Amino acid sequence: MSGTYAVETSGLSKRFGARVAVDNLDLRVPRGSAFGYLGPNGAGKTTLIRLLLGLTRATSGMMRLLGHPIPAERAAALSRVGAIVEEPRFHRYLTGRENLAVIAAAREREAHARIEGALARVGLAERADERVSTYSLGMRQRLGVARALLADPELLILDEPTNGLDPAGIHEFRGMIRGLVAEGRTVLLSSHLLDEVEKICDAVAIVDHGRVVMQGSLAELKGDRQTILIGSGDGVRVQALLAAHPAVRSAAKTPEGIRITLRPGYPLSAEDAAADINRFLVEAGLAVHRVEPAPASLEERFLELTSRLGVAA
Amino acid sequence: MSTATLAPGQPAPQQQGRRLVAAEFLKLRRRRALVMATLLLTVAPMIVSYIVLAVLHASNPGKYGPAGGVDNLGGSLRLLSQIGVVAAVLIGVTAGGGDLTAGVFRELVVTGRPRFALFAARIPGGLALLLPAVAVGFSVAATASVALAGPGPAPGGGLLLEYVAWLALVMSLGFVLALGVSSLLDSRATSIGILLTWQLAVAPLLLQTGKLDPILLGDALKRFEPGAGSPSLSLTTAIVVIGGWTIAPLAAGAWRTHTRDA
Repeated sequence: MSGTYAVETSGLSKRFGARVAVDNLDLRVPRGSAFGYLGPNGAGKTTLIRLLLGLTRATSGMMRLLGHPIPAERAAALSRVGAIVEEPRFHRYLTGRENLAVIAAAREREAHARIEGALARVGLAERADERVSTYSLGMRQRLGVARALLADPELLILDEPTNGLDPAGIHEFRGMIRGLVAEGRTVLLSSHLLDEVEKICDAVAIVDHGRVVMQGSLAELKGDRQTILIGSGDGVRVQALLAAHPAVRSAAKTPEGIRITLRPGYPLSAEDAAADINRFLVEAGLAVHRVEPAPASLEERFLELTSRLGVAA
Repeated sequence: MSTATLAPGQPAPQQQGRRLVAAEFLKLRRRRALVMATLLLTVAPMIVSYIVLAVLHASNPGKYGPAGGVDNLGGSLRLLSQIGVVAAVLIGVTAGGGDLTAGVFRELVVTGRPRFALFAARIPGGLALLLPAVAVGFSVAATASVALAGPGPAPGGGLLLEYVAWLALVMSLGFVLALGVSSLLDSRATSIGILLTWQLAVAPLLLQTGKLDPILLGDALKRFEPGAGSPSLSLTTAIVVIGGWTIAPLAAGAWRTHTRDA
């Protein structure tokens, strides 16, 4: 094992004619983490994955996988990388097991011995001898994960891996990813599903228009901003009153209630500020049925950082 | 390169090659329609033609000679070479374009295996399906030609071996041409259309003109066909033509496999 980062890119760009899909991208994925590569549809997530895996050529820039420069040492790097790119594809007339055997043949000798374990891990052992044409999309996704595991991967690159999974399948999938990370593997998970990334990943890069606009741990991304959620029958008046409160930087109406962000450097803790604001609103004659400190969500940060802010607003 | 110099997780090339070939063969032999078509185009014509010859001989021995013998062997194997080459095209096209059509080529590329190795494995993998089927068809013809030879001369071992080599050459050439073309193009249907049109219509027409004989396969293959009469091409020219028709499609297919976006 060499290098601090499982994935490292510097100034990486990919152009399709005049369109820039990946724009001077600098990305660092720490080893042993579940890393979310988060961006809206069309942000260039799949293109980056295709570049990393050598499926298409970069226009310019540097990339390293598991310490190996790509494309110079691509074979050595990919021997320890498992990947799902877009929807996993198979020979539909072959069984699940045969499809894995085909891929195992292109990998090291030991890969064939991993087929049973991989099938068991994704819960397909009992259906492994059925043709893939009879599989649901969710089963094909799981077979795709099994195929990625044949490499005994140090790094798993998964592109929108929960597509097609039912809620129970998504829950199992999260557990499986956490299990893989607990074994010391790195998982790079590309997704536009904020909730998914927030529940699975330790660190995130937010990408938009082919550029990483921010990367770091989830806590770093959410920042140290303190927010409080307030429930009241008269949200409009709450917003108007709070605009004058010294603790409040902003107040926004959300489906859960009025979410207020405290001014940076406000001397009280979120709990004390919540009590103070409650007193303020009640003294103003408002009925308040909910006041609670609420951590900033990745969704808010994502919307702030990406060009979708205007759309969401 | 010795195994000692390989990076971790990198298999020895020979082992790797054998497993890739076995996987290619698996992908082809599990296609029932392809296997059925191959048998129909290689074994069935031989069975049918010898049954017809035997029935004709039994019904009117004065008019129709014995079903076996050297002459009928030559005729039936020429038939096998013409019909069987369609099987070679079908197998070649499937081997060349099957992974791409199914979207599995991308999955193979992300294993890190060199694309040339992925392409090269298709050659023995496809021949492993084609040549045994041709061998069965040949065996039917050879057995019938000996068993039903009657009072006439039965083919000897030497002649049979010459026919085996010639058939293997014809079929392998049809296969590599199809493999190369289908690896070059994105559509199996287009590849099959182009190849069959070439094989069954364009090439015979061009041969009729007599002007392109030195660069077409027909005369070059005839140079090696047992009992085909006086050759129109020298041995060297025939070898060069066959070499060209082997190398050019394979090189084109390998290049496209290497350079295409997966």
